[in-house]
Amino acid sequence: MHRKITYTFPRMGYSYAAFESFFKILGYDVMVPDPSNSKTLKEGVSNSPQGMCFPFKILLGQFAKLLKENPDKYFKIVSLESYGPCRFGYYSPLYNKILEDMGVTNFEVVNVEGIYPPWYKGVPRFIKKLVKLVGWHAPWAGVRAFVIAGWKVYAVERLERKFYHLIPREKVSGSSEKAFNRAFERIHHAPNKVKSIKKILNEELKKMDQIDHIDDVELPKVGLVGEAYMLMDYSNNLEIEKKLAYMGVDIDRSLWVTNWTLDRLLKTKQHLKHMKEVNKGYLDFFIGGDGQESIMNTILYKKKGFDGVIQVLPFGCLPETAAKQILSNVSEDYDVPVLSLSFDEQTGDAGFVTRLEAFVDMLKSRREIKSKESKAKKAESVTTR
Amino acid sequence: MKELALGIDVGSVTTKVVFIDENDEVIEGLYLRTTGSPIITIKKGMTQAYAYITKKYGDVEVMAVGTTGSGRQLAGVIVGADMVKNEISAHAYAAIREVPDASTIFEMGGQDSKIIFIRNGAVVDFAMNTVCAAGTGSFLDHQAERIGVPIEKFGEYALKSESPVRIAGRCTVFAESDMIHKQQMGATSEDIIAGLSESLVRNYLNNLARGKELLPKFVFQGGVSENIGIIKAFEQAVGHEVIVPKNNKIMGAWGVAMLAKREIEITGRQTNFKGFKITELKHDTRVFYCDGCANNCEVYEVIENGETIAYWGDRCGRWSNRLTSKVRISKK
Ligand code: SF4
Ligand code: SF4
Repeated sequence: MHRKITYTFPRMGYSYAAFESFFKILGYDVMVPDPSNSKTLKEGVSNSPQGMCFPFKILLGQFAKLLKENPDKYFKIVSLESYGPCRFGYYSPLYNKILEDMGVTNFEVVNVEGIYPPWYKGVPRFIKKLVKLVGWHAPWAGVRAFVIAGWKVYAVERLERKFYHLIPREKVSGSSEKAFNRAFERIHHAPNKVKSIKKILNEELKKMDQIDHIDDVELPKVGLVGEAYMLMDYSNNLEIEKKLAYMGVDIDRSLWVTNWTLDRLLKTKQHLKHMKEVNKGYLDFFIGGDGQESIMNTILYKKKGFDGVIQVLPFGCLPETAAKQILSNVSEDYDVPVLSLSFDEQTGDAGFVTRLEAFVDMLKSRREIKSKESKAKKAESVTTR
Repeated sequence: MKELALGIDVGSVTTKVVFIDENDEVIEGLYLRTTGSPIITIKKGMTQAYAYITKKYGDVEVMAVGTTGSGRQLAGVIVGADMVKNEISAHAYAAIREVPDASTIFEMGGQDSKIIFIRNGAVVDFAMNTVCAAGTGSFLDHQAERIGVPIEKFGEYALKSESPVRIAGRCTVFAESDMIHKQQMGATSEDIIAGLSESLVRNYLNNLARGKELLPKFVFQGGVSENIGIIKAFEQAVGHEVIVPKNNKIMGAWGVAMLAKREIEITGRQTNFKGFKITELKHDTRVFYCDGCANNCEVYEVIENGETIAYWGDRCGRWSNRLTSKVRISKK
């Protein structure tokens, strides 16, 4: 029996707009799973092995909902799994097994692994997988889809960064959010031409700049590190960036789709070497996931003058749990406050917001003390002269 | 007319209501069990406190209101708060006022516990435990019931013990089964209670203070700080005196009352306080799932005399944005 195939993939933050376009350009049907809500979380958690990490449970719940709601369609679930000793490598066999046990059969999982070093072996293997995924296309069609999707990813990231920059500076609360939502929808539905995407991006960035806001304010700066999926998906990290921004914080997220893929796919070697150097004495070998990145980025944030770092830690994630312990040493040695926030299906807004607020209050008071100290020092050096 | 500031701390098990005077001193502080809805408890506390202070001072004017605790948002819209503050900052503020050179604050409440690290009068680190019951007042209450010794007597019993039994205290389940075992082996209630206190403190420090430097002065506050047995266990564990400040049970409410007062003084704003009449209004809360989009947000609604005064939990602002105009009117 031949059924038309519908593609689907893990929804991750706003980047879904770009991945959706990729399949559309190639002429395929594609459906994006809904973001997590209490029902998908419950379904994912109750059907997963208890020891699996939280992101797996989230994704299982989201996919299960999509597949069940569309029994007449046949899905190819694209899973982008990376190398490494953590559980990421088990995702696709487990999807297969569990979904089948749940009585859902209208799918297959296609695993596109990352490019393993060395690249001359990794790249051909990656291409082979891609071909298996989307079939043979005229090479230029494939390249075009790739380039346009890439542009959309980039455009969405630029908008998102602007958005988080503006929130704590806007004069009318909510005005940047409105602007961002509109801009995102325009990029999402932009015609599939690089030129149009560029044009829309520039227009919208300009519009966002015109929002009434104060530019020259000194805000506490917080860097966000942690496991890539949780960090990049606002629906599962309880919109941590937006919440912090509304509390009057300048936030910076360490992992974005662009730098994450570039570092892993193209510059693997330099990237690993750089991490090794920065992390010397803490964690200079690969432990899977993004544990090493979390430590490196915490150190780099401190060096860039950030006031504090928040680690987003999915419950049951091995690399991040290991990193958490090491981060408490980094925190002490570098005198940088680190708040590790663990996420699972029970993480309610209440305790979460309390921790964020207390952390921000603390950074603010640390700032005051520092500025007082430096003033006192200046005064001292003047009098002793 | 006496000018006062009001602080309310709504936790899951207890609600604290505090009135302070112009010198930040507590003139009335209530520590109430949250029975039924927190709204009822808040109103009950305000009615009681109002009766007391008007009797003592005649007419009073509330010039600032602050709320804290896990129910701070709800309390804030019900009474009309000027400041809604997280409990870490509120607790630390009050502790630093009492013990200016404090370095470590232990806080144990009914349902959660926290540790706050202070250097030079400012919070530099903190940890909070909201998931695990080992290390909270509820755990103690529960065990008191099991042993058949009223919780108020726990401290006394603990002090009488000569050789506390060692109770495995990684988690409540183990602690409980271990305790039953020791009981069956014939240990006295005194020794068991002292052992429990030690295990509670060990547990707390293991969970919250792991790898952190514990420096004096130590301050211990929250509902459990009434318990002499636990105080003693803390002193033993840290090898130093542990100070229990005055108003130890109501520090959060006291702290947020002072913070709200300071906020009003600095900004010169008028208070949002809706007046003591709110105790006579009818309040309802409602939780529903929005079906506006796939997020299916769990939205909370607060209704006052049939009119919605607050929404929260909606990610897109679909509900809360409807209110902006009304909120402004009520703030006038
Ligand atoms: S990095 Fe963590 S969350 Fe991600 S797959 Fe590995 S163990 Fe799971
Ligand atoms: S409140 Fe907004 S985001 Fe939440 S479900 Fe309703 S429409 Fe969607």
